[in-house]
Amino acid sequence: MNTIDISIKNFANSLEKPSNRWYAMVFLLAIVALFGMYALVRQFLDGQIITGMRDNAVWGIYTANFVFFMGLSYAGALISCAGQLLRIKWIKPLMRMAELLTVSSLIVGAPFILFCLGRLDRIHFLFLHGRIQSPITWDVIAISTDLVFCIAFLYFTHIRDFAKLRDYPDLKVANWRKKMYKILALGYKGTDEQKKYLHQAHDIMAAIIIPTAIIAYSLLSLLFSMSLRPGWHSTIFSPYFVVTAGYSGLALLVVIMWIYRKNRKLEAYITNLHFNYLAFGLVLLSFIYAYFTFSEYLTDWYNQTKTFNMLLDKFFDFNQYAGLSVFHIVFAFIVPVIVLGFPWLRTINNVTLVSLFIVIALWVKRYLIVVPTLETPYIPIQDVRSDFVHYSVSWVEWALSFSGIAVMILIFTVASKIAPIIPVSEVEDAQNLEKPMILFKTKGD
Amino acid sequence: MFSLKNIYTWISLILLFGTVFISANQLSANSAAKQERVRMKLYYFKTDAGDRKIQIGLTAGSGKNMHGVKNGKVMLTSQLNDSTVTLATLETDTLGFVTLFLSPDLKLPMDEDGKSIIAANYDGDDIYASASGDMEISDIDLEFTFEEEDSVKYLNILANRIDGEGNKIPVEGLDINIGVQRLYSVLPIEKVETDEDGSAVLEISNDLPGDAVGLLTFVARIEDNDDFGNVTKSASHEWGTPVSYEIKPLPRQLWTDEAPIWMIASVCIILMGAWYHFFLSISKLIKLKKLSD
Amino acid sequence: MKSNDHSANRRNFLKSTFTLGAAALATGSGVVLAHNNESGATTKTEKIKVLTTEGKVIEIERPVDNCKINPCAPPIGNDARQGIPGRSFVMVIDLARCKNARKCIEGCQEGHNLRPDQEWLKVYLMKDNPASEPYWFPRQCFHCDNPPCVKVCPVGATFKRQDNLVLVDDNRCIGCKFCVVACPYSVRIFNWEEPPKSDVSLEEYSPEVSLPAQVGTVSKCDFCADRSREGKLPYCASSCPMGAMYFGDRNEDAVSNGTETVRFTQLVKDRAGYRYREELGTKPNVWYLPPVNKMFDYESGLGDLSEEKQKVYDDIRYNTNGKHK
Repeated sequence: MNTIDISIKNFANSLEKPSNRWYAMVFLLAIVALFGMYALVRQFLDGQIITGMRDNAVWGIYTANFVFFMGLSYAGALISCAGQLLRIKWIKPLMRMAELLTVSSLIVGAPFILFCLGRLDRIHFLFLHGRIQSPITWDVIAISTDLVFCIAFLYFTHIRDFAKLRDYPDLKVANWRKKMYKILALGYKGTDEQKKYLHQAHDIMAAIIIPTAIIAYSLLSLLFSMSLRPGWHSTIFSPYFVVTAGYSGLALLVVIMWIYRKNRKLEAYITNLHFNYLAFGLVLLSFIYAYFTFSEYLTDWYNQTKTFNMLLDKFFDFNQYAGLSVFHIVFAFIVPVIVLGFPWLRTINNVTLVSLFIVIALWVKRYLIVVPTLETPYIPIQDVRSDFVHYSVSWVEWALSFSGIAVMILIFTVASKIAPIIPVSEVEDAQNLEKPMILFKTKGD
Repeated sequence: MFSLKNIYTWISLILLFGTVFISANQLSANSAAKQERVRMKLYYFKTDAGDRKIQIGLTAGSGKNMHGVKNGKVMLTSQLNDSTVTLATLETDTLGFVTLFLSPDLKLPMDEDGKSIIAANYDGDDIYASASGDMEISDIDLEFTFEEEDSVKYLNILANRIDGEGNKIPVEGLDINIGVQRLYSVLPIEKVETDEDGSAVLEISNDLPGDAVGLLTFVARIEDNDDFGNVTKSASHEWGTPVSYEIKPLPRQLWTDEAPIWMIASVCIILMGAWYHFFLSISKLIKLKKLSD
Repeated sequence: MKSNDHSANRRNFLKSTFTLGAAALATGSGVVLAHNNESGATTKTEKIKVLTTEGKVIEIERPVDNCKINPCAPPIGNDARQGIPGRSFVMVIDLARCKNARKCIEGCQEGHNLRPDQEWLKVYLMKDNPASEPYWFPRQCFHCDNPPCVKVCPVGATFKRQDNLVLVDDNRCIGCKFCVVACPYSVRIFNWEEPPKSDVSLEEYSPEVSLPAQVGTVSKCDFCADRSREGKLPYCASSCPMGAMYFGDRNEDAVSNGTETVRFTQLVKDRAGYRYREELGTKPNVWYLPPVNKMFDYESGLGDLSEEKQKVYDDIRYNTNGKHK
């Protein structure tokens, strides 16, 4: 790897006084987010009758969003922690983006399961009367643990940069921010001993986040597979969800990389190589994903049980879900493999565009997991009320969904004003990294 | 040829008038028939606890339109030989029923056989036609005895009518329904018929569940009998298989409040493992911070 | 307490005139004027007319002891999590007798103060295979012994009792709807909007009565345990004009449809009773008697329905199996 000129002064500018464009963007995002809050208040006051959810389809895009955002978080955690543990040099510039992706999608995703609650005022009952047998309790425990760990890890990787910002005299920021950097830097001065402790903290945290995230995401799938329903009651669901999560998160990371690269002129740090490597990862994951999808449906289709067939018929019926199914297959599998698989198509812009579609297709997949199955219970629905037979998304749910996206972007926008979006110290470190990492010490080390 | 002198003309006229007169009569009868026909039913009940009641139902209409006659005045009388004693005049309830309880020590006028005749009369009104009816009531005594032979259980029931002097006379050929009392109703076991001694025997199977100690309440019922009306008598005996009334704590299961131990244990182990590492890395940071001072 | 008993009486008028003997005998409980009501619940009284020895008719008021299970008042709060001792409630539904008269649904809705579009009890048109004849299939909560809904509840708002009942504590339900999803029989319904006002106050709320309903919580069939305490059959069973629904206590080995009482074991054994989707392992407490030698043509159950309502059965009637035509 070529040596890059990495220095905090290259990023100081991005942290100083925000431009009008930045303010406008924050304002716009805040409005979208606030509109979502308004929708939530309306839902709280009027009851869930104003959502599109009804008996049968009692869960809708809130649940799909919940699974989707949680999934996004997973890839970020995996990439940054693997990069840390395995001392992968090229990943270092992406680490902060990956961690921010993890934390922001966790913060945005977790509330979506709460929007499903009919009685938000009783949310504390989850702790007061919690039952350990319920997958929801597992999720609550796992996700809150994951969130704490990921926030901690995000902070750990910031410490040295905060120290650098504290020690950078020409930084033109408000005094409170300087004070904040000073506190958050924990008095890090870069002595060998401090380096050692920080490294240990990093490694321990990274090592524990990987299984935590896998568990959290596996538990998420149990919300579905623990129910006796066609299309859900599947043993493959946990690994399937984990792979889907990694796939969607990696795709979104590509999009984020592209945006920052363009916006902040980071071509020196985020190179063609990164897109290339991630494209390779995406192709690999798209194959694994296709393999899982195929296994999942093939076994059930081969058996031809009655209710599953009814569900499958809906996926092939253009009056029902065939449109979404085709979209999903094309953009989650066919297009990525073709575009990312052939070198002459694998341009930075193409990789990003395909990634964007992968993200959308995988959201569609979540929708296809949640809704059609709910509409296909064992006892066929015999109801004259069409909204009880077919789920349709109401404005409230759209408002909250878009406000979720807005909040996520907002977190990125604000966070990248606090610290450099490229982890300066990490990248610097990576340049001097000669020795391969040691996973387990052997006797005599 | 039409002339009053003609005898045939007279005959024809008489016939004509006769016909008109009769049909007019029929017409007036028809206008009276605009009143709905009312059916009266009389019931007599003697319950287990000793309650005696007379119930009279007035219904009109048929099929889906069948309904009770409300607020109809019904006069109840007791008839003995040729004398009639008015017992009460009562109004029907919304369902068309009149219910009159008889005070425990009240004796209805009865003949030497112990038979009373209760009659009821409804005068009718603009809408409903009048109706009347009567029924015979005799007092009957039902007695249970429980016998066990070679672990076969025999329920004996003895039916005696009580005559005017209070003597017990066995009733032969009386249908009695035997059942056991259940939460919602009586579970019928068998219908028995009394012999010339007024007794009937019934074998009780061993598999009837009783209460916590195996107590079973046997119920004997005479239903809609011309002489005795509806009579119920019950007696309890420990012939049932006991059912546990203990509230056992629910097991530690997925579907109970308390989780299986292994589940709690594995969650604790996983969480402890995870949070141990979290605090371990935090401790490293604390050490780092200490070094700066 | 729950319903307007008066109208229920009216509905049952036909039946009651024919089975008056049984009905009257069951309620007449002796002229014991000062009866102790141990339960301490609000004592109901009735006015009766008594003919005295003097030949006068006097009206007296006496307490009615309808209490068949002590205590008679439905338990409130955590007490409701305990089953009624010695009881094991079951239902047997005779599919040969059901003709979709929908009286059970109406009785249930009236008794539980549900809106006309809220059905704890649904009558489905079912067909076991393309060659067999469709039949009507009343389905309420099966009160499973291995209830998937209870397993997934994160707060224990729905719970299983020793007397077989699976109930919902609306004061605890957070409305996550996981139980609705987990139930393979689509039994549970959600209060999407403010439910109709009820006479029962929130302080009196008992999971056995399920009233008053609260917005944002889940509700479902409660097997009318409060009525059982008074020796009354659930609303559905007592409203069925065909006597298709037998309810009872399995420990007593007796089930009754109001006019007929039979031994549960005998009935299920003789009529080849089965439980819906036994293979799911949920161990329901509702048994079905197969729809053989049906008393009615299934089409007689379509008669009173609007064309729109009839349409929902097209898939079953014409073997289209969920596919759009």
